[in-house]
Amino acid sequence: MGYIDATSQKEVIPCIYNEARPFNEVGFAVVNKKGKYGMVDKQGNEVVKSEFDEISSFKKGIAVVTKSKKKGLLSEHGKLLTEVVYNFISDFNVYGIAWVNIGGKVDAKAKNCIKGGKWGVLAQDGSIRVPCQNGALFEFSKELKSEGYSGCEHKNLNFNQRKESDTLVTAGKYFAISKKLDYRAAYQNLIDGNGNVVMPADKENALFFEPKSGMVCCFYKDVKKKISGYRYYNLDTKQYITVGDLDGECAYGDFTEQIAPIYVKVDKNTVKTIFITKQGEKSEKYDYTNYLATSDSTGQWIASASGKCSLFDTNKELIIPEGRFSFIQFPDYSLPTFPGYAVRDMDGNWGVVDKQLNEQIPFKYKGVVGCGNWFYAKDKNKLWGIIDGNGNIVVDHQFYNIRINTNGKEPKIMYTQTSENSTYRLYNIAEKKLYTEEYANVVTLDNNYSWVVPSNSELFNDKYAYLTYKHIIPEEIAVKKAEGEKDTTIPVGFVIDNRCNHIVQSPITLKSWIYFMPEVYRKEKLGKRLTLSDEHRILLNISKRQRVYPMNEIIKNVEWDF
Amino acid sequence: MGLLTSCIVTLMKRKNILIILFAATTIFPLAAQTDAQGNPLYKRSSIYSLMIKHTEQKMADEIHNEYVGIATPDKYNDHDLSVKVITLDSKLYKAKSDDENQAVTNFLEQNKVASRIVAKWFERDETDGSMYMDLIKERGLYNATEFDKELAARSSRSKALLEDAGEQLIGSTFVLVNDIRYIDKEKRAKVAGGILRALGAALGSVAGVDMSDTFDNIADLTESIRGFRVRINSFLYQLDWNESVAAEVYQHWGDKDYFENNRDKFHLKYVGKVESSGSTTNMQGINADLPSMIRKSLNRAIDENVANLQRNFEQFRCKTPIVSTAPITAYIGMKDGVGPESKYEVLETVEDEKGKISYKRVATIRPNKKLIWDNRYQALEEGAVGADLGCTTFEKTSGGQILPGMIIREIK
Repeated sequence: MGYIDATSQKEVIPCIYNEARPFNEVGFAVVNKKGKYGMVDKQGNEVVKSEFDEISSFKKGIAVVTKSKKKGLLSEHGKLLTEVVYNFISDFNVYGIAWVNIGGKVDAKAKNCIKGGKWGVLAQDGSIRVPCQNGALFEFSKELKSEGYSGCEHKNLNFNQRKESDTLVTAGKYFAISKKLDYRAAYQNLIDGNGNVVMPADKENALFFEPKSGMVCCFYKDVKKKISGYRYYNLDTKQYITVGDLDGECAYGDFTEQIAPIYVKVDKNTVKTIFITKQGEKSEKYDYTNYLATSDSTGQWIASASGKCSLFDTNKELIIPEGRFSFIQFPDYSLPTFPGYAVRDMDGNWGVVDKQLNEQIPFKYKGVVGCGNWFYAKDKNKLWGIIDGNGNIVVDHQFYNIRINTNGKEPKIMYTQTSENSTYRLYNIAEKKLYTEEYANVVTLDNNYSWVVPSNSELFNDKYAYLTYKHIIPEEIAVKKAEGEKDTTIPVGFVIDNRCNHIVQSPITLKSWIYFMPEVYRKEKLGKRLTLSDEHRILLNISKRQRVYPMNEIIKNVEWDF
Repeated sequence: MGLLTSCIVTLMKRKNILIILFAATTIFPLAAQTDAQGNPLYKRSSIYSLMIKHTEQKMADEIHNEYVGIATPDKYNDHDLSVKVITLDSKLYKAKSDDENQAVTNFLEQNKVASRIVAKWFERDETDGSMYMDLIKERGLYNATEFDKELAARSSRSKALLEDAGEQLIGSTFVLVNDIRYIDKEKRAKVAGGILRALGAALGSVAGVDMSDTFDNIADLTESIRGFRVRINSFLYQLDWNESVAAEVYQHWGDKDYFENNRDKFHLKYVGKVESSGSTTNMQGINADLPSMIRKSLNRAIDENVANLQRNFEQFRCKTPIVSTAPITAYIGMKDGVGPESKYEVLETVEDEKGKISYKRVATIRPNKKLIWDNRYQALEEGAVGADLGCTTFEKTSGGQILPGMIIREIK
């Protein structure tokens, strides 16, 4: 085989090859000459000598070359990126790293996992991240299930029971290695993504977890002293700090920069939360027996003790010092403009303060909760309404209770109650209209839809109710329900829009909404709404797993969707 | 002249009567359409598949449970109806014969399945009988606005559009009845069990807990389902759609009673059958749990049958677009029956000025034997050769220029 010019049809590279693959986008092609593979440019110049037994297809510009059963990496430009010394090279994962093995073999008895050899890690440019010197290479991956070989999930480290088709699963910030294949933490070194040992193996370690903030949480066992408990290894100082004996003190989570919360046993029945610093100081100052919470989005802490609340950041720097407020809500920093801190003063009144802690909305409310740049607030008569960031009224204080699904934005609708046990009614905020329909229960969904259970409706007296029930409970019970028997264990309701119009006519469970949603949105795009026929079809399809029919009988029309 | 071309076709759509006229033709190539990710779009055949469950067999419930979760093959549109499982408490009579199976045909006829397939195409509303063209527009990749405009204008192009929809979409609807039987073969799988036990012991030493019980259970399970196999007889039917049948729909558009009273006018024609090999599926790379093993065996057997049906029956062959031309690649692989000896024709989609689509052969290709994608169910997890290719690479064997978006179809 050779190459001809596509336009002139003239031969440009002579037919001297056993195989000639198409040219890649950068102008090189893989060729086979006398059984050996190499690469040529468009002039026929040999850019990679024909000496390889195989050159794989290129993925992301990289191919694996094989020579005498050893593998290496080749770029699409024909540059050899590594030595050809590896027995196995995995595909690169989405983070651009791959595991490599020298000396291992595929073990057919172990579901084709690779056994033996030394393991390492390569980066996509061919550079060695972890040299092949380790009998075992472990990744930190709580989610990773070792499907196909071990049949189980380890919570801390993933074993190197790998097959050729497996890739690394993490970005490789940290790995654990051991000289020989050893699953015990006591014999594993913690290394960083460049192969440097950052925490040497320690015989007392029984488990250790991936560090997030320079501190490695370890569970240790001191066999001689017969104690076990938690400790942290400081990657900067190379020192352990001990949390304590498992009977008295227990690690709670990772450090957020300078502090980590720990549980301390007060007496037989009481546990309090305090903080430990990276130096091992257990801060009695921040001794929070009443309340402790952290914000997933910011890492900030809110803690209270003796009715005094503080907000502080990940370095234990106070943002709102204790003493001024008895309660603080986590603010929403994701909004373009900071809406303010909703706080409760020491007299029990709620208001909003700005970042300098100056009063933004007066402390005259019995409750304030953020919703986008607005707040819903309870006035002195214990009635809820909505106010904007300056305290101006958006919705009058007239409701005993309200339910809002904000998703970080100002709400378009809300549900209201006029007394403790009253029904829910829809309030359309843009229209300033309270609808008269009454609901026993409501759940707000996306796009201003809601799932509602009407308070007094005869839901279950038509064939659609029968179908509704048929997909969630056995048929004989479904018939009874369809005939009017009330069911309190499986709530069934309707989906309505922001004006109380039924989007789904049939009573459905809240869970069923996911089956209706795609068709509702498809119809919306076509400028249509779901019909009863559509609903019938969807309900039939939800229940198709349960419905079987004798082949020799004619199936009733109502069981068919068309 | 046929019914569609000899008479004025009347479409009653929400009381609007549309009259379709005709014009002369000129042919020009059609540019390939792509989705938001740039993947070529093309018209696919549609399948309604259902299974015959043998209630007298062990594993019947497990097979049933997994079968209803299997998706329609991705080269076809899902045209499933709400009935997916029918039961039989004995072997299907003459299941091994290649001839039309009377019991299967009777089921389809008596339940008027053909009319239900047609009703689904037009999204017929059971309460008032109204019908819609939205599904045709979506699957036919027609510009919805243009399509509506042509129909409303009663243009000659609208007639061609309907003919095209009829030939390429509605007429390419298939029913696949899968008669699934479990084969109980003794085959030891103790090796796998042993490995699990060994790993259990190793894990226990790390975590400081005794995990041996858990692993013994997994190992026992592996052994209890040793040699799991299914054998599937797949009976293929095609919707009989021609001008007179089309006229039945269009002339009585949205007439609820007429459609109900004339469901018998729609028919399926028997195409043929294939039987899966019943070979043991390689269970490497999957969890050693029963649902996973059943799912894999079922998927592999169904894929095998679909590929063989394509090979044996031209009308069932799926078309797939060319993805790249240097090298020539397409998202098609072993699951779709691509093998070292496969041959494909490359088709250019051409549209006449009335909007009628046809295909013109421009080249023939064959797969590069070393670059055949193994896209069978869980091939990647199994570590199968070629499972990570993502597409099959082809070589041109004859013909002219091949462009991305052109369609390929297997030839014998």
